[in-house]
Amino acid sequence: MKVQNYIFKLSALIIAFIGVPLLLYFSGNFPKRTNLMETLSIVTLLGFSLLLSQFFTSRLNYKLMKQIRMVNVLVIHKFIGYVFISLILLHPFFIIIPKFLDDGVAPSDAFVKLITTFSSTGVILGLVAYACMLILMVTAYFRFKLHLSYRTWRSLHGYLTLLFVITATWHVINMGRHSNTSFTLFYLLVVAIGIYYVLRKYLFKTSKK
Amino acid sequence: MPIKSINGCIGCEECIKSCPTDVIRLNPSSKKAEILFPEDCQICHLCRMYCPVDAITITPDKSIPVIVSWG
Repeated sequence: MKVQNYIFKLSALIIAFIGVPLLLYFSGNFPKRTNLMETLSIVTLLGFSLLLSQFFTSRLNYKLMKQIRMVNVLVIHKFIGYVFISLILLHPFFIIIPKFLDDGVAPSDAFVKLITTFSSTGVILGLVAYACMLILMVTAYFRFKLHLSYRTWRSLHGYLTLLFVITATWHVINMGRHSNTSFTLFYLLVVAIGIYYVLRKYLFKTSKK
Repeated sequence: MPIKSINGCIGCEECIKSCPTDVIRLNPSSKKAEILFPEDCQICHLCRMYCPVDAITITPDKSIPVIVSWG
């Protein structure tokens, strides 16, 4: 019964953060490009969606933690975090891949133009989110070398996550090639629930020091 | 319609500068490029080639030679 329950919970997470984005992608009627670029788009969309799922594969999801034990939740959280943050860190480079395949602007010039168009709010938000994501990954990896108390570490990780999620979601909605109303509503719903969970846990509940 | 859509524009204006027939303009509110005069498109693909983020989709119709000024 207990095993069935946690399988049901994990399946619900998989449907919500892999199934729903795939459904929205295939029903979205977006202009199609080459198979390589479409594959990279799907991988990037799923990567971002799975990073949003981190709210629910952590200590914040008390019921899942109780069923599969914190150590297993942590394995899932770390796996998704390291793999998909690495993938999203590469996404600006994915964007310029078509520039290697035609005779237009050089890939290096395209990349410089991409990261220096400061007139665009979306680009600035993307750069802020990128920096937050990098800091999140580095501080998580070197957590025990930082010599922080658990509560300080948790606050650093949590509030940095909030900054990352808000700027990244705004960036995705503003600039994403696949941002339509359905995707926007999906992201806003997930982010709102995630922020509520974090603030409820951090601001209104006590925990071990 | 030759030029089809612009998705994922970063507002760098490279397509606007490269278009020989002034098909694309910058939307002042969204600060993104938009197709304003699609009927003037010559399907020269310059906007697509100069776009750093590959945001422009063009129909696979036959290309019309680019209009260039002389002298």
